[in-house]
Amino acid sequence: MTRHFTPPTRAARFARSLLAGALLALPLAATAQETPQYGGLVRINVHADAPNFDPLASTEFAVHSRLGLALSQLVAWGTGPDIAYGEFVPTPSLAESWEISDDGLTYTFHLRHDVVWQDVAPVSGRGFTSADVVATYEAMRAGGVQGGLLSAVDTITAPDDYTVVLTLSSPNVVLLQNLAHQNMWILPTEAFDGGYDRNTTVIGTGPFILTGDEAGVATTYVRNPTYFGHDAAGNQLPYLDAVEITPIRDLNARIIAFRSGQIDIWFGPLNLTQMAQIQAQVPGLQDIQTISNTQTEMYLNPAFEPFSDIRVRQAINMAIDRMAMGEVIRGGGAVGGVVGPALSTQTLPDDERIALYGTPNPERARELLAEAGYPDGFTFQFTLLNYGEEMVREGEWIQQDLADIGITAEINIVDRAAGMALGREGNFEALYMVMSPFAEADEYLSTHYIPGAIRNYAGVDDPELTAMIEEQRTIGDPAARQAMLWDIQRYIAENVQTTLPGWASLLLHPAHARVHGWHPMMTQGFPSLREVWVSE
Amino acid sequence: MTLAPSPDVVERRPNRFLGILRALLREPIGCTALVILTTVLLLALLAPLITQYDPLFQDRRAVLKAPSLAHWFGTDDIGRDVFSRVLYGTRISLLVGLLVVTFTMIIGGMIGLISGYFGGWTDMIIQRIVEALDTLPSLVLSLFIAAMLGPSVRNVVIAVTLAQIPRFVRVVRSEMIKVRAQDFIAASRVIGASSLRIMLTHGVPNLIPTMLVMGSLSFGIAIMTEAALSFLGVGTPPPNPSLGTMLAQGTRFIGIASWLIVFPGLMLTISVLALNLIGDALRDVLDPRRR
Amino acid sequence: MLTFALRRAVLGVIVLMAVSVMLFVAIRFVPGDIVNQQLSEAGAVTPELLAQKRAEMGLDQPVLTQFAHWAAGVLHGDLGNSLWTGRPVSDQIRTAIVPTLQLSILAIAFGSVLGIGAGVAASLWIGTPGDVALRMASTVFLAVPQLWLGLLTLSGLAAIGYYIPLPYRPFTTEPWANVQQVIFPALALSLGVAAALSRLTRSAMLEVTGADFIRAARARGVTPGGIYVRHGLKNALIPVITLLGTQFGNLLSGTVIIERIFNIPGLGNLLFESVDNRDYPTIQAAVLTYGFITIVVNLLVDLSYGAVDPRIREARS
Repeated sequence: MTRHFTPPTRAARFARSLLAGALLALPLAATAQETPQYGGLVRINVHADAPNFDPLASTEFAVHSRLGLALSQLVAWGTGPDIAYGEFVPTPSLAESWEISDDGLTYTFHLRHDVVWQDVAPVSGRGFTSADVVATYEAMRAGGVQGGLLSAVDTITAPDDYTVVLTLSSPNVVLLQNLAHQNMWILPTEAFDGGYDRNTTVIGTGPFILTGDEAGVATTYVRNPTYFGHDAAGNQLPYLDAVEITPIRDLNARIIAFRSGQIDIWFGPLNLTQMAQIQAQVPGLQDIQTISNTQTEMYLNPAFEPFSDIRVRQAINMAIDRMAMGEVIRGGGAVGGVVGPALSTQTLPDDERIALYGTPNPERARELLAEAGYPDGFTFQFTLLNYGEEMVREGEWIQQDLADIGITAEINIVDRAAGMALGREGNFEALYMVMSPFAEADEYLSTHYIPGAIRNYAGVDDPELTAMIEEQRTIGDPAARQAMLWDIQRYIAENVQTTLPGWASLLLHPAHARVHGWHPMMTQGFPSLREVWVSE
Repeated sequence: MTLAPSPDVVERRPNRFLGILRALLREPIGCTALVILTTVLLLALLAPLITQYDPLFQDRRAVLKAPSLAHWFGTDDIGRDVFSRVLYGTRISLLVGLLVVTFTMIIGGMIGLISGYFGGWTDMIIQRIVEALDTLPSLVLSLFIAAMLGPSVRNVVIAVTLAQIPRFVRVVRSEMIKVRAQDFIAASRVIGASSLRIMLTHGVPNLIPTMLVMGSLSFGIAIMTEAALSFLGVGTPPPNPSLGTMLAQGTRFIGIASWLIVFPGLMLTISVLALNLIGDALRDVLDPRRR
Repeated sequence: MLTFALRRAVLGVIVLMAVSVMLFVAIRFVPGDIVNQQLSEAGAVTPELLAQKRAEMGLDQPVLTQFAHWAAGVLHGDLGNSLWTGRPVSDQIRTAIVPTLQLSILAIAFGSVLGIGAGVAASLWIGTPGDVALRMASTVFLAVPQLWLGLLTLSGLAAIGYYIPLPYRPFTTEPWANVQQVIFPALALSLGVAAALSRLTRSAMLEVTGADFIRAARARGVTPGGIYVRHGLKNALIPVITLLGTQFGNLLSGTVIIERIFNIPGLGNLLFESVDNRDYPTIQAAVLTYGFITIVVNLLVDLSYGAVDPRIREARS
């Protein structure tokens, strides 16, 4: 029997979200049923300009968050009042339904018939077909930065204009989520045959049309009148007339802009003290809180003698008071994990993560150091990637915690590009950085723990672990897969203990009172924006 | 910069430094400047005696506390005492300033002497290199060098020194050309004195007044540049308490914890002010024409 | 005079070319490259993909080959494309230079008016409390770092509940927003310039007003105000212009900091971002632009000597 996909019922979604809700506060947006109004403008800030608009050229947040407004994927992340920030609910987008064969090797997607490209030359509103999907995926595989997301795919074919079939060489339960990934936007065939320049022109099937982009000023969008999406009542989406995305690099400038109403929806780091200040001045602010999809992490290089001993790595883990660090520096959030806490259904349960990483025990740490032959501690170079002030503060915090057990960490601060190079070359003793915004446990595991993988800076090579990571990709049953993922994380905590997780900060997503229907999501591209409307 | 000391300075040889100091103390500006500078120096040097707080110690129960009797300048976002950090930060500022001025004087002075004394091709080549360094705004140059070398106190000193050298070279060179043109140099040559000897016996003493004035101004600029580089994240690395790093930290708390910006900035300004005043006073003392 | 100024400018350009060679080699020694940055948020990246991307950008070739390629482009007026944005570097420079020049020119203008005004006033009031106050103010402002002044301005504005509109808008599209955005940073920048200028103007004025020709003018019955403006200030302007030239360099340095604090997308922020991203062509172009501005300013200063005092024009040619 093939597994057919039909959009989940509200009750089913609710049941699932109860599980998630137990771990993670759901967005606290006003859920009062008001009638949406058409019109208006919403402004969102991001931290940087989009370097260009070619989705195949970079994985930058600044690019893909902007593309999300104008482009669509085959499958999308569902959004809504009862879907958690980090919860992937596969939702039809350009594909209205799909089937997966029993052996998990063939995926058949049925495309919508009513989709037309935005009326921008040279595509100029022609109908969307399977040829566009095939062209996009083939181009991604040939040279796109997101090619790895399709690595399990063997063939991509289009039996007719509205059907796409993907065959896999081995089962991979993550494929559906990979297709919904924020880098997997479908482009028209013209994007690949020289019809237009992907760097500067954006032509999609999304709810908004990109009309302008001025570096340091704003990216502007207007409503796409031919967008295929409709709300539950059958009304044409989107509601908004226009959207502006404003790059503001400096946090203070961003706060000022938000406070004065020049920004409607906040995006980016903000701590509780700053939030309290804003709340005092902005009445009726929506206070939506989630856990960040990135976390800090500490790589311990086994080439540095003391770190080759697991007892030393365990001691370091036990020395760090992450809970207090997160409270003081980040103003809240969740203790990190092998799989980040934002992935509420895949990371280890909260209390288990706290037991493993959030319960400092300096006495035991000192004992372990003595057992490992370092009763007087040692000194190491603590290479810290400069992701901003909070990151530096965390490094300083850890430095003091380690000093308590006799280990001297000499902070060596480097910028991000240099740090990544040092990591890749293995040219460090300990490296502290921020994890990429992964959306699937498999991404965490396969990038950090497989020999030769891109983020395996600590040189982990454990055949048993590799086998387990490969196995979880083939488990179709959600509960069985979750159990396997949890086992892997426990195994790593006990036997590997490098890439020590740090902290996943609290993310505040304040929005002004005039904004309705806003649900921040972990995936990039502001997927709920199509259903946002403004009052007044 | 036109800092031509009158030739008669050269003749006042004995006890020159004491004389300068005495003259400084007679001037109201010089006196004020010396008092301020001494205070700043003492605060920095005696920091461990003045405050019992370790500038790096995080009192995690006293985070972002406003100034009080316990913490005169308040605490920062991980509970470190700001007063103590300001004092130790001043140490770093003064250290960087001192190193930069010393290296600039030695390197810039030597290059300038050689360039001015020999002239010709040597001069030509040196001047082109100096111009190359000088085509870029000094902070852009320092920023670039510091960013390339990575953040550390040593690299800040290198970056700031390189940006300051051109000014020294230029001034010393023009002074040297003037000295060379004077009769007694020609006379020394006639009696067979070597180049080195001439430079050391006649060039260097004549340059001392100018160097002192430029040095004190340079000191101030070095302190400001160190702060700017640290503010931009390529200067003194954490956890060292640099005044610029502290200002960068404070920007996140504008309107919330103003003490994080006010005190480090104030200390920075006072230090630079004292050095500038010393420079002014020295200029007045050493160059009677400018009174 | 003209030949002198031009010779200096041409020399400057040659020097700039030498700088560009050093720069080109130096930045490639900084660890990390743009490919790391572009793929920093990707999970599924293979080493092959990294190598492929590097090859596409020509980063796998020897530095000398890369330089030859770049230099050939520059000689044809092509600064190349940004590795980060894929767009022509010249476009980015053109966009970023506008706010930087706007800030520096405004700051020079404010600084000149405030500084020369204060200097003339102090020289008129010599010995009075007004003179002392002005001298003290200039001494203090010379010592206040632009960095701190900028932060204090921002704090002060926040305290009185005034918010500078964001993001930056060019003057041509939204003049009113633009004025609010540049006026405060320009003021923060200008105070240091004003302080330096007022000190120099004061002493230059005192020197000139003691001169014979001023006494002669007075004897001819020219009113004191007229003397100051026509004779005194005109002659005092020569050292002031020299100082303006050197101050412009300081100002450009200041804009790097001020742009960061006030979130203005100028040349400084562009340089910063391109260093962060290891976007080599943009770094090169941004640094060269700073050098180019300096050369142009020096040229203007040289030429203006002649305009102010014909004797210099003759003496130098």
